[in-house]
Amino acid sequence: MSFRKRNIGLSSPSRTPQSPTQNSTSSLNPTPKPASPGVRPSPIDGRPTTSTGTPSLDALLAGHTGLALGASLLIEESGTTDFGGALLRYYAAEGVVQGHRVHIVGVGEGWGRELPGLVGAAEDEELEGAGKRKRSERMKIAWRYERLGEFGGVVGSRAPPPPTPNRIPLAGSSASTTTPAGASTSPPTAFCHTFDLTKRLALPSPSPLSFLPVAYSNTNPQASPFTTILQALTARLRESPPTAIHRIIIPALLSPALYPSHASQPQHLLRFLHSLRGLLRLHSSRLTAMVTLPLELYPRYTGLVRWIEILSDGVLELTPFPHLIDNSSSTTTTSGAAIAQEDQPQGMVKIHSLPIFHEKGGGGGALSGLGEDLAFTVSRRKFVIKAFSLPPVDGDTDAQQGKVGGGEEGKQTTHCARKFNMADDDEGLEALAELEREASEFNKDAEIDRILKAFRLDAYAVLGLQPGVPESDIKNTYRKKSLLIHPDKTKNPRAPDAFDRLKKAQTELMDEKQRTRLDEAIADARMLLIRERKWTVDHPDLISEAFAKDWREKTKLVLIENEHRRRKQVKGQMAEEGRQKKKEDEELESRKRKRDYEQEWEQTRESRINSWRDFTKKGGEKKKKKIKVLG
Amino acid sequence: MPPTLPAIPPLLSSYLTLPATQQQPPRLILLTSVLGASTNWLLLRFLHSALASPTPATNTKVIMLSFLRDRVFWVDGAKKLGLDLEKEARWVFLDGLCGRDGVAGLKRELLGGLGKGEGRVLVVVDGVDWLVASAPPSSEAIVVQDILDDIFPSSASGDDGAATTILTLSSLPRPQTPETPLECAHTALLTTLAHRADYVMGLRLLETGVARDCSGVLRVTVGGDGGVEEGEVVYWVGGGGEVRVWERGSRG
Repeated sequence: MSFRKRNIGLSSPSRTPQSPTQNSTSSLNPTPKPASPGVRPSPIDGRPTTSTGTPSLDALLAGHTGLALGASLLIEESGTTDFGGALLRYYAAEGVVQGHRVHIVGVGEGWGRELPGLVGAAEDEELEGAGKRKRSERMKIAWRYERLGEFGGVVGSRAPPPPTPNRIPLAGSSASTTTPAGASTSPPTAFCHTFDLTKRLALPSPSPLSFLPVAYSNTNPQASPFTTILQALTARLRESPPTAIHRIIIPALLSPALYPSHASQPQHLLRFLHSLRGLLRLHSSRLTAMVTLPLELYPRYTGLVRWIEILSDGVLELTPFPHLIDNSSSTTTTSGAAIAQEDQPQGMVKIHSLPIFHEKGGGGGALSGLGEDLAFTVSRRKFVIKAFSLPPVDGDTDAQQGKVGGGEEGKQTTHCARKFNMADDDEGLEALAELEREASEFNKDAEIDRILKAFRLDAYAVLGLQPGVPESDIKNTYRKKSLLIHPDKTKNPRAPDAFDRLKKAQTELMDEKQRTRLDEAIADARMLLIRERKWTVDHPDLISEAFAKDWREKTKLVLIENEHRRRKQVKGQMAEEGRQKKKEDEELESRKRKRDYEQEWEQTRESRINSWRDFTKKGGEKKKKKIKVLG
Repeated sequence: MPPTLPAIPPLLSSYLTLPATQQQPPRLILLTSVLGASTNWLLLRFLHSALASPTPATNTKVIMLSFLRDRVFWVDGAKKLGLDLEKEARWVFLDGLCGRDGVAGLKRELLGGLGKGEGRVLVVVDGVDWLVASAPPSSEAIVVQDILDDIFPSSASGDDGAATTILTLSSLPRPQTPETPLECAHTALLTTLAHRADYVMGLRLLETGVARDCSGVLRVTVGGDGGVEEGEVVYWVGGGGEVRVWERGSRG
């Protein structure tokens, strides 16, 4: 049990605001001092960063490959699930392993007993299997972030060490950034560990965890429930040695199970978060924070949540897929199905802002993941955030060929269509010549990039059109864009892929049935949003840009849901077909058996008659004998 | 990126230039942001324009109150523009984030700094909306009105104490339909300020999503005789703090 000091007056901060604090950029010309465990300089600007305990999350933080000290991260989550809680536990466990002080706000000590256990390097190696499997897995997982993730590496799970350990070129970042040699040339201390959610972390003694409960005051029920928390945090930071690294964890902020209702009053909550931001800046070389916020009671469009976001450095939103929540119990089928389930994304991840990156203005550096459709997958041993894609279902030919709506055309036909469109059309050639004059290679690359980034289930988005445009616009846009990015006309290696997606989108929109289905999904998304917000259909905000944006996001979710439903249907249909086939086979079999039996009966008639005759002859004698004996 | 990008993008120079003489009327300039499109880079350029312009106005004094960012952040950002705020005596920084002064104390300091300077004074309040967000319900309007009246007497009065003022604040997700007291107060503040301002520089993200080579859109809205032109440009902020600004359609 740790002692908790209470009622300590708010003391003067160790440094006055006028004296510049030891910060981030001052480490650009670093004084040689021993690096703290679990802290390494950012490859972008050398500021100290620490791991969130989730490698794919570290890789998303605008190229810093870790959470910058002095910064906070807000994880928002819609629905009633607690995937964000898993991220917090990894963050806490990583802190414990690195010997950081971990302060947990608002929850009981039970929370700290459920931290995921550490996977040892050897065990990890063994479980990860041979290099072959590892490589194939790495191909699947977040290949685009892989180089970022390799910086420093996860213990045991990234086999080949980077060739030049003290200067790793990073995509998008200036290679000339100074990476202090001391930190990355000492590999034995890992930056990020691997944890297993099914195991429990053995806490060292004395426990590095401390719990800061929410205060209820009977005498003054309207007093801020955060005052004592803030005082305790300030005191602990002041009393600890200046080299100690701290982590603040606030699970399920404002959850009614943990906080009194008046905690959500802006003057309490926002002042607390403002002071927390102040603390982070004051101790910008030894403190980070991570907060989760359930969005169910406090939606993102409210002013309060916007202010919580403004006061946080990075904001991520998790949107779990409803279909997984509904059938979570029924997914335990065969082992094969369970394995397939593990690859499936469990929800979408949206990045709203990133530490440092957006504070500066939002540009430059590594943009990894920003603006893309990201999804998260939680399995036993990792929380992975990667680009969204649905793995194809076995036997679902539509999905395997990458065709969403189904139809007769295969990939082959698409290629033929490509050729056909090219050669046949005089007007097309003319347009092509004109286009080629004005469209530089740059525009082509930008368009290819846009198409590949567009949400592929939404054909309108792929073509860059507004829903509901007339058919002529679709034809026109398709013609222009297909000529622009035609694989024969650009060296871009991703052109064929983009072209195929464009073709697919056009095919889908030209099919009346499929287009209606898509339009319905888009309309559904709008109605869902209106219902969620309890608006009327003439609400003034419906024409705002913010709503349009939310609408687009909601449309994605609806389309994903529809796709899942469709796949389930296909699966069910296949199972049904299987049953039907089996029944037919059985019938056939039984008929055959019957026929065989009859045939045999006919063929063996002679012998049967003979044997009967023999029998009756013999039997008669026996009978007589018997009678004789009895008589 | 070429390292030779000018600290002040040419397209913005007319907006960033502050009244040069005492005779010119002081201005109220409003910078608004949304989540993901912060005003920091723009504010840094205002500081640069006031303190490090090629023809340094003799004694411009800048009093800066920041509610959301610490001193180190501004010093670092200015350093990248070639402006050493650490050694700059004309820059007075009031820390509304890590500092211990309450709103009343900060206000006193701000007004104190305002009084004693000779020559031009530039007042900068970063995150002025924090005043309404942190206030208990029903008192916020008074506080804001107080502060505004003190810092920036309405231009009609022609008061000697008036100084050119730059305020930054964020706009909320649903500006048309505020519901909670916080949203109402925030919207009221924003609307009041926008009406009073000579011009508003509003930053927002691209409607079409995230792009690698573009950070956001800057719209300038002019009220009354703001003396500048209305317009909309696209901007990009690099990792090193450099900024490129160009008009839509013409790639810089």
